[in-house]
Amino acid sequence: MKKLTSALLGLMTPLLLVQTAEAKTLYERIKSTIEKEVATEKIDEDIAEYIVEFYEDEWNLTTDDVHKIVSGDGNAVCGSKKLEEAGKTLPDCNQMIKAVTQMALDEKTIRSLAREMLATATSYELPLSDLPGRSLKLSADLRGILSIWSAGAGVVKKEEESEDGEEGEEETPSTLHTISADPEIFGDLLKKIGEELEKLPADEQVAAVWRYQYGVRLVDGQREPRFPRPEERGIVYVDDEDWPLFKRWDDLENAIWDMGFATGSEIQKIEADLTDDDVVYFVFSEDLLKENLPDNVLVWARREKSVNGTWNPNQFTDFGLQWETPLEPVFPSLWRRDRGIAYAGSYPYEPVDTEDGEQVPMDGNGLCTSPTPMRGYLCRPYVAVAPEERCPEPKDLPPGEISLIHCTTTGSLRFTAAGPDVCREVEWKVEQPFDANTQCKLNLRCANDCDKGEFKAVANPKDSKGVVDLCVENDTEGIPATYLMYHEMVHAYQFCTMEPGDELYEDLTHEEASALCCRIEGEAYRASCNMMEQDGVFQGASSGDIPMNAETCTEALTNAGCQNVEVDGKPLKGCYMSQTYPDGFVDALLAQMANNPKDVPASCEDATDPKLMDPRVAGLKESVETRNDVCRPGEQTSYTNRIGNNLCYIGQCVEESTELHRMTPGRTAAGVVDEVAPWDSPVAGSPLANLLLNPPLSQGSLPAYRPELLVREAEIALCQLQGLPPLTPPVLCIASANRQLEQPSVSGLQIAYNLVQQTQEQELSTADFLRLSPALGARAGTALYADYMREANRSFAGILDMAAQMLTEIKDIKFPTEMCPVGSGLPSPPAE
Amino acid sequence: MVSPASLHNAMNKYLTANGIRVTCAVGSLMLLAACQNIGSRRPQNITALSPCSAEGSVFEEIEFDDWAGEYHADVSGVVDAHIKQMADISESALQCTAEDYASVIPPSGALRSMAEKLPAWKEDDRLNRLSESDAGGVLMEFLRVYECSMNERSYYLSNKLLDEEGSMNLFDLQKKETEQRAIITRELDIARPAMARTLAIVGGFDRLAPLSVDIECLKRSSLDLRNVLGLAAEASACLPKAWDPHGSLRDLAD
Repeated sequence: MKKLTSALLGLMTPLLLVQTAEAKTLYERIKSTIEKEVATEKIDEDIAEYIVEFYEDEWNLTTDDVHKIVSGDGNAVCGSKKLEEAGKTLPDCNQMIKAVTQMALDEKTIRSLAREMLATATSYELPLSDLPGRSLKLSADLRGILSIWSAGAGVVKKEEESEDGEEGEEETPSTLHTISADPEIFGDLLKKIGEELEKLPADEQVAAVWRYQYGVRLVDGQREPRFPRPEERGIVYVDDEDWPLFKRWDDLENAIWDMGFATGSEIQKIEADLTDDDVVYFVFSEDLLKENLPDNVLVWARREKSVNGTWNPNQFTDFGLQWETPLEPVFPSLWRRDRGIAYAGSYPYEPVDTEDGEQVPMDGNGLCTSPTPMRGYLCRPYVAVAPEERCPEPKDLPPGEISLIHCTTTGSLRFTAAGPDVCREVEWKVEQPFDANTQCKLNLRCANDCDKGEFKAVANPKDSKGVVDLCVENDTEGIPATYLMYHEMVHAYQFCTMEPGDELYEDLTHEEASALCCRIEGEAYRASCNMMEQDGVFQGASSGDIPMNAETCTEALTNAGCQNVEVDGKPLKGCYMSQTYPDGFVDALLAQMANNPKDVPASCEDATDPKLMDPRVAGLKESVETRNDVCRPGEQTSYTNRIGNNLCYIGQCVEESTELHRMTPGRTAAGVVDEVAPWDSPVAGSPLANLLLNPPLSQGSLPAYRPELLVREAEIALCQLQGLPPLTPPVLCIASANRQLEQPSVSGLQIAYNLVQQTQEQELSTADFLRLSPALGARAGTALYADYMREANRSFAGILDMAAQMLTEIKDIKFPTEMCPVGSGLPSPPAE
Repeated sequence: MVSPASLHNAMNKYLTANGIRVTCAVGSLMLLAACQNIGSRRPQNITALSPCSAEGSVFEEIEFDDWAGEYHADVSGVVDAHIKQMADISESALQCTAEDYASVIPPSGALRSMAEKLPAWKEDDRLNRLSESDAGGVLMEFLRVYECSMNERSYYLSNKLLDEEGSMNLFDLQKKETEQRAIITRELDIARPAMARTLAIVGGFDRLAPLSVDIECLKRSSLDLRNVLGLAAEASACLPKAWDPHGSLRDLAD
């Protein structure tokens, strides 16, 4: 449709008066246009001028003469001519009248057709407009729904990659707001715009509305470089400045600018509530528009908050004019005031290739400068996943063929992983600064002496800046540093959510300190011993009768480790073990740990190098550093109230529950908010993924637009109407004398009569067909639209079906009315 | 702090109370998904076309001089109300749970008033089933009746003038006939193209109107869904604690 409008705008120049003062309804506007079209006795002034110039060498006519001839008073024109003048004699007079009348009729027919085409385009394009004050606002409503549904506070990574494989830039969808324009402030400003419009000739009034439909800032090039001015894209030609569509009207522009400046001061009043990516539309009331502007014309203003005292770099801010309902196109120039006639009208140039090889239409690109339409497929690269896949039309079309949908780039569609963090790809929380109280950063270092006695590695408590210092000695006595680092990383995970500067054993009794040590060291040793067992370090190893495995390793090392910890100058007591380990077991274990069957990074330098470190260590490191548990008791999380964000929060809580607590009976944690398996990296593993239902996603596809096929079908239909097989060219179907000649007839007179009647019959069916064509075209458009929506909505409906199912299940959960008793010493719950 | 159980009870109540609305949310999305049915939501079929005559129509009751004014004002009123109804859909009392699209938007006053003037909608039953989606059909029927009335008058113009005016001399009759014939010709030239172009535009709106209605219903139900999920999110904050075998969340008998 955009092309259709473009074609219309390109092909035409002005006429028809813009109605002023009295506001009309849509039907009244159309009716008055039709009255002009059917009134055979009247023609537009520029058509009269064109006819005068066209026949300048044959008959010396004035525009008054042309008007008289068209209104049926041609004989008077001939009569007033001098004897020697052309057109005086009866044959010449008849010829002149016939030629002038026919040309006037032809031009009127062309203009009528142009208006019909514009009406068809309007019926489809207008509802998709996002400007306030027009009939139907589908795109604006859709944006509203997206705002309710989508997750995120804004930034989303682009899905497609460019041809060179680089990931696309981040794209920030704008949030649209509306604000009512105060009549006290804008009344006079709109009146001034209306006055400037009314000063223009009728054809220029029409052209000016089209000219500023995407904004004066765009026309003035002030939204560059993001949105080049139309002229930069090759639309305007220096020698065509008098073509109304490409003219500039300084006084009118100034009036629009004044209105735009007024919106600036209005925006400042609400600036505190806006983000840099918000876009505000000013809503001018119907009365305000009708009182001050020509009929069917409206003004619009779109504004963003300024950034650093200048225009917002998103460059959506603009102000312009628009039709309430586009009914009047800009017609081809027939008559150029300074250069005489333009034979067959003045047409825009062919589309040009830009430097990057893209073929750019001559106009219509203004559509892609508005925040909502620019997200449509006409304005964005359409990605081919694999060669030709999802591409409705081939990229390389023969010259002159219209293509609405072809792949403009290659790349891959990216699906977000369902594993670590459900909304990992989306910044769904309101951005909060790093909080040293609840988050942490890691500092990995290697040293000759970590200053912790016999320990070869150590994790120091979080400092005031939120940094947990992890140190591994260069000489680890043969034990691969990877296992030591993994052990300390678990400690870092434990310390990460603690207050900075917390001393582990401060204010604890000796008993309590021992218990705490056994717990936190137990977790850390269980993680590193488990890792070693998986790597085969203990394969077949034993000491005496005791096999070496993750369990014995954990118990023995935890006990030994805690006995080496001194609190208040006294060593801790040690830990509960399932068996007594003989002296020398720990030494044997440490000796066995020096094996490195998996060849994990052994030196501290390698184990801490991000490029060389073991992926399990890297995964745990990432999960420690990104740890920001939203469901931690006392944790406050802020996000915009949207369906997607609520789901992100719920998903994250469920995920934390499954990753940190385990729901398997007998494997639950011992204490409140304790974790069952802190060594399981939520990043590396994805236990939740197995629990999730995957929505039935389909990539969707755009239906092919095949105008040539439609035209061929129309031609076939035309021939069928005439009772003929498809013929080429189809005009043969309009006038075929054979049909009557081949029929048996009683007399020659009958044949002659039938031939005459046949023409009339065919004219009628052709007229019917022409009348039906816009409706057929509209239905073809509907079919395309329905094809697309069918695919696109299927995925959406599938997701919602699952959402409904889950909500129903949540609704059906019966929570117990009695709480679980804690401990046997507590009283029983009251009986019902 | 509200306990998860009481919060969930509240949510249960909310869901029960708004179950219809949640169902509506999904239902309207299904409606959206079934967009291929856009064309199959049929307005009323006109099975009882009146004869091609002014008889029984509004044009039988008013003076010929008022025909054109009445016709164009009525059409203009219906078209204007139709567009306004679609433009202000966010403020309309939509029946989002209606079984078919025709029942979603009730007819405007102007449309109902026009239909009442037409023989095809004289029956109460048909009139009561009138929907705004029938606007195109009613307008086309009004045009047909108008053209039929004009043609009929054109065929029997002399007789009708004599009936209306009583006795007339030939000169006055011819003068009057010429005047009225010019009006008839002009109206027959204008009425259909004006209606065709109007419907070309309004028809495009109409074809998108079901989508517009679905989107509006979706928007409304999305807001309900957002509230439900807001409560669910609030409750889910307690999930990690809820999994614990014992802890501070358990109600201790105090």
